Amino acid sequence: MDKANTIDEVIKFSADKLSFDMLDSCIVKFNEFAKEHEIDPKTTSVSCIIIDEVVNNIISYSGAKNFEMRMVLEDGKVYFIFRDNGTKYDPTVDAIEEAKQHQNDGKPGGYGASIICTLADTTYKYEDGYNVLETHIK
Amino acid sequence: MEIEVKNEGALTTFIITGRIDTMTAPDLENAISTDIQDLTMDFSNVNYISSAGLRVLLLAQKKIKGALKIAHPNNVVLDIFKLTGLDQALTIED
Repeated sequence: MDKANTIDEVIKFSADKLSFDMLDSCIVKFNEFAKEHEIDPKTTSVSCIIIDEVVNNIISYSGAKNFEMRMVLEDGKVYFIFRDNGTKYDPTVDAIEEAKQHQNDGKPGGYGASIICTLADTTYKYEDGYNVLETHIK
Repeated sequence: MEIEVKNEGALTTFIITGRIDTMTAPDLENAISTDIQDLTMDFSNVNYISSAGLRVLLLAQKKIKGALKIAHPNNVVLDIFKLTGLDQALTIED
């Protein structure tokens, strides 16, 4: 990897119960990152959607006490690495199930994982007690 | 997110500015009353919508008495509607 073309920032949170203030902080921090590095409006919006879906899931369902979001701009492309120590959860598998479910029912809610995996090339691994989700904006 | 409300006969129009996501979707949900007949949401100034916002749109369709229309979404929002299949479930006006 050519580090000269890579810009990397990390934001970390620790708490007994992660709150939605954390989500707001992540969105604000990314918007500052996007403005500073002149990321185009469409990529910025898509990135904010990804952050909203991922972080909302972690706050609402994971029970994590530690979370970090790494924002990377590499050769003009944006990607994120999200790490949390909550319940083991692979959204790339869940997205397939959601897609099947929503083909027919049209019920509200539950689109999050599908949106993440459609807007970004997404890989998941569970490492040292942490969910690690890497999302490359398409 | 800001919502400007206009009433004209049976039609209520929400002119929405900003993002519709986990943090702001509850405000949009609260603005939707069961008294509303027809509702148009003007999305000209909406940057993006996440799944929390999609949920509110689907609930709005059930909550109001008449028809819901989404007007002038940008390409990011339109892509979200398409990839979730909601472009078929919602009335969207370019």
